Amino acid sequence: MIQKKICLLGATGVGKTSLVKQYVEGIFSEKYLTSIGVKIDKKQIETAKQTVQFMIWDIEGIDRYCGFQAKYLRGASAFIIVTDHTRSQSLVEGLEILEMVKEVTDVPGVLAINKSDLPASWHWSETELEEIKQGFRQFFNTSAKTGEGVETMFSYLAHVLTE
Amino acid sequence: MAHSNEQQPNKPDTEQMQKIRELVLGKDGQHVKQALEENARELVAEVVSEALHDREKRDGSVKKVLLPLVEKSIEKSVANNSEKFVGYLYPLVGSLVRKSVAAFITELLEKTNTLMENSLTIEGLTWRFKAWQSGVTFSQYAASQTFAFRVEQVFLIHRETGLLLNSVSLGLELEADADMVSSMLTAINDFVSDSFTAKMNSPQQNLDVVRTDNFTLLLKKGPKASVVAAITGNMPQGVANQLQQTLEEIHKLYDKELDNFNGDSVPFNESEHQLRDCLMTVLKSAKKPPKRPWMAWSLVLLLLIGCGFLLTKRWQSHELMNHVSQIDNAPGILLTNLDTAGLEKIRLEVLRDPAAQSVQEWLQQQSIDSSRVILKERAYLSLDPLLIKHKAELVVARYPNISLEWVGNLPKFKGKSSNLKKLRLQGELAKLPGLIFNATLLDDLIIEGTENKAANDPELIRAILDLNIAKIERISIAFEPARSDLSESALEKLIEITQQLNNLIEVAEQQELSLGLIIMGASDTVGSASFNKELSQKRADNVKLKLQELGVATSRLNAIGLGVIELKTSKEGARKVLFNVVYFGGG
Repeated sequence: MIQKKICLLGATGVGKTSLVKQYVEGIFSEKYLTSIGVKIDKKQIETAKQTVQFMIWDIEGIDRYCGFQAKYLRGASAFIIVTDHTRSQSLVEGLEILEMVKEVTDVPGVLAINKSDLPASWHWSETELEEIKQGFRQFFNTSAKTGEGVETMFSYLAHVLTE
Repeated sequence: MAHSNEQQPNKPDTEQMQKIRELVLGKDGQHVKQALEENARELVAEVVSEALHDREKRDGSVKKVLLPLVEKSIEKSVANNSEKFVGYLYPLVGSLVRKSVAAFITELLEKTNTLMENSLTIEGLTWRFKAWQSGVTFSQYAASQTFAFRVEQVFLIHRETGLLLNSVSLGLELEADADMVSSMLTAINDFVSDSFTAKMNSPQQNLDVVRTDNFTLLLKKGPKASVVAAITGNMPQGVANQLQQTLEEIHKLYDKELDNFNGDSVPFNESEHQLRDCLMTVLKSAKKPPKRPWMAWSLVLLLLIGCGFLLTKRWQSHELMNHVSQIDNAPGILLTNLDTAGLEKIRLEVLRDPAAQSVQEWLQQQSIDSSRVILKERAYLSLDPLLIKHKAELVVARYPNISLEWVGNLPKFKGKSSNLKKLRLQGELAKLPGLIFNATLLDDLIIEGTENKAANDPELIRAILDLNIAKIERISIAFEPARSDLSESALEKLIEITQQLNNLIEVAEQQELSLGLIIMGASDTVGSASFNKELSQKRADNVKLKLQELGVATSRLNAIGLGVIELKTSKEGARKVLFNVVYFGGG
């Protein structure tokens, strides 16, 4: 078994915590998020080669007014930035986060476009989106409600990190 | 050509060599083979052990070949000689069973002891109550109370990623989800160091100890890894030192592995040995000696003492019963029942002749504590020769001048006595049941004072006379209805009367007394009064005649016919001749 640290990032209210809630094992309550700004869960993924255990650092919602705990990224093997396609602002913030992350690490990152069960209502053209997606290794349409894309995203990461 | 030229002389050489070889070695090396075959046994025997050893060392194939063979041989041997194998194994099995039983008992004792220590002591009960009160399990509470401190779990955490490299624990319930805890600890540490680092360039703050009421997290950070210990109880400095030491060792040993860590914790599996050193446990009170199952032992000891006590008491009672049962041999005491009563006492039931030694006295004589004997005694009359002798001796003891000796069961009296005393003694002895006695046995006594003293004492003489007179007066002669002739038995009685009377006359004459015998005839109511009067007279006359014949002087005899004596109880009772002795003073 191989262990990997993954960071889950995103603006406040994009549904990071809800997204992984049903797919992970956790012993810590959500109050940790507001108290120390991070909560740890774990998730095991079986790849063809071996088992990968992700230690998922769910980092408190980041917005432009609050600082960014760069230290939480240390030692991470990958990161996920979650956005909400019903709020244009969430992608802007997501991009800001990506900028900040790139400053401290160059590990692969994926984009999760969340709330895919709802119709998209952000004002981004396809070309703009394509450009944004270039900054990521991969992107996934996900839904915390239906569970769409979540397993696929983790499997992708497991695959990438064990290559 | 040159090539073929060179080959040319070679060819015959080879052939020659072949021939020589054939001559020396025989066809296909037959000579050698034969020689080898002849000595094969010796040759192989020389090297067989070494060869086996070498081959086994080289590729281990000997074992593989031999193993199935040996297994099969043993199987066959066991099947064929099972009796023998039973014989071989018997002593081994015995000792094995003994060992395992001993181990079982030891374990049981320890378990019992633990159970008792935890459950039966007041402390244990208090703990149970407190554990229930504070909502933790008893074992957790007991652990927190028993140990001054105990390192429950130790984590080795990769510094950079916060991933868990290895963890060891005591295997208790407190064990937490180690990988998540280690990540979270890293996060918390990051949070603390970020939050409280005042200036950018000031040295980084690190979490060192996290402490709650009864629980401590001790963190030691190295450049590449951290060691975290979860400790219950009050942690001494020693643990921190041990953690530091372990951390340094791990950095030394796993320097490269820590640098190249990619999430695979397998290379760190061996670090368990170092981490185990940190699992320290110290019991609360140092005065507690190494644990011995003393409670269980004392229980066993108590039981043994109890059993021993009961057995001793039982044995003592038994001894006492044996001793007391000897009372049956005492004259005049008959043992009817002997039983234990309670722990110490015994119940004794006897029949005792009142003349015999008292039971209390006997017990005292045997130096038996009479308070341990519950006595139930009933009186009876013993014919035990010993007791009869004793009774006779008691009687004789009242006569100071007379001594008693025994010839077998026959008493022999010696000494001096007056006639009166002799008579009294005779009377008393005759009353003793079971004593072989008649008056002649007293004949050896020297009668003193009969000639002088007694002769001068008319009262004494009278007493003797009265005694002898009474003897005569007790005799009566019976007759058939309407008959006056004397029967055989009547004759015998008359002879006795004659003797007694002669004795009496002798004494009476000495005392100058005149003595006579009145013979009174009587008849029953059948018939007329005149006939009966006549019949009674005739009966008296016949007796008188017979006495005269026997030599009694007529002057002393007086026959009277009384006629009918009416006795309502019986008709027969009146057909008799009765006697009355009379004497008068010499005046």
